[in-house]
Amino acid sequence: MFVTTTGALTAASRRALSATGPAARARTPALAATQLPAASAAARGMARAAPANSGTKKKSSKDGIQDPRLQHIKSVLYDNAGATQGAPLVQAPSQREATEVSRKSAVYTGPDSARMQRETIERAWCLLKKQEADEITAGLRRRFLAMRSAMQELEQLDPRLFEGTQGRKEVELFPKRLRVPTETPPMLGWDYERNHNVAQN
Amino acid sequence: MFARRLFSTHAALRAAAKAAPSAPKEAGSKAAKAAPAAPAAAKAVPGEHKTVAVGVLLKRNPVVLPELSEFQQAYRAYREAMERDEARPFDSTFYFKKGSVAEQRWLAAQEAAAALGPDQHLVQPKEEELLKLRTAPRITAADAAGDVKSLDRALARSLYLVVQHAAGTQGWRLPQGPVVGEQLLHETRGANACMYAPRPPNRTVQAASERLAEACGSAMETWVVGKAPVGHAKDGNKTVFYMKAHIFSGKIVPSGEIKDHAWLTKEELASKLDPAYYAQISGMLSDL
Repeated sequence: MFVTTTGALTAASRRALSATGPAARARTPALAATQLPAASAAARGMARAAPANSGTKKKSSKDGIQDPRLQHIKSVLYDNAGATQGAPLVQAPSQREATEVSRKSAVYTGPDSARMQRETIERAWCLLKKQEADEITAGLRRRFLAMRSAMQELEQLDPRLFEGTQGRKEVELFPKRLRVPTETPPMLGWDYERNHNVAQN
Repeated sequence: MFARRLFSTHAALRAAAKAAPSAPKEAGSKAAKAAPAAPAAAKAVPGEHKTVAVGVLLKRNPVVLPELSEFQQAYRAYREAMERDEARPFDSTFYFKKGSVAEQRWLAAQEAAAALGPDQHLVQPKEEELLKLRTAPRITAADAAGDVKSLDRALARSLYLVVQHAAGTQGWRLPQGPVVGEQLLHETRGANACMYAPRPPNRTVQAASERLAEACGSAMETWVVGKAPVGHAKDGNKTVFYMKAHIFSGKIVPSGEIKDHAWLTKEELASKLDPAYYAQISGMLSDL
């Protein structure tokens, strides 16, 4: 079992989540953000281009030397050969795996523990999402049926009151104070005296 | 002008209620049957509906988001780490002008984060105002004390108002009151008094459940959802139809009709209320 009924992780799932994460693949310390080997190509391009363009303002297309800024933009947008942030010295295992996975068959054909672990994690998450969605739907259905049976009862008991429930209110104003739940509650807590929103002069 | 007429009829109702002799003193067996229905059964309200009463499901919505389970937190951390690992390296020379103040703040923030530990990811430089930001705790003192009259309790859940009416021996119930005269179910005095909705000039009916709002006090800001009831419960020879309402601010000011009140979550209601009564009203309660 991956997740217990209370949402806590089992011991096996804990191992799986830590073993397959990027932390496991990159046991060596990650490069600081300031050291970027991916910029080397751009830097080389810039270093090559700078002396040549130092004097000229207008560049002719016949020169074949591009604006170094264009080179830089292209490398940022399209450069896939650079290393990623988390995997320092091993050559881009995630990229290599991505291409390999596409060549593998979609059907599970044999033991591949890392892939199985990743797929198990994703399956457990999908199962959790499905359970949450089912709970929401069941709650909606329950409340709707309660409302419908109340309306049916009212129709039997008092036609005048039943007619009174039809249609919209004469003056319908959406309440401004209907508050969206947030991460933390308001600093002042519940407004018992109804004076929190009064402008203090 | 309309407010004065509202209060004058309201005062007349109260006077009539006080003048009418209380039923438990007069008719023994009849009162025993009628007493569980409503507080009005004890004080005979003129023009009271014989078979229909109105109640209110007053709900305080959750104030904070629900807590994540351990699996949800671990999965979120796992996915964030994977995204960081597979992301392209961030080229600060592309986004920040060399030697600019923004670049210096950025690099200083990364160095400060790198000093904390080896496996750090990119951090945003924080404004001074954000660093001074304080937040209130999600678990409040009312949670610790278990104060069921407090609206600061169980912030991640909905709270429903239950009361114990002074008259009768029916125990804890959702608040209810009679339907008098030409009233409709959805008009409660609490909603119309506290909200901005003006009363239409050609409306001659009085607000329904005036006794109900009178019982709970008008120191609350409430809003009744729509005109239709959300559930019903059989109560002796009467059927109580419940209107859903939200409370946004304020408090309960109990009058003589309410002996005790509490704000409870759905699970606490299941244990506090009579099981047969809870089975009738549980359909209209929200899960969260």
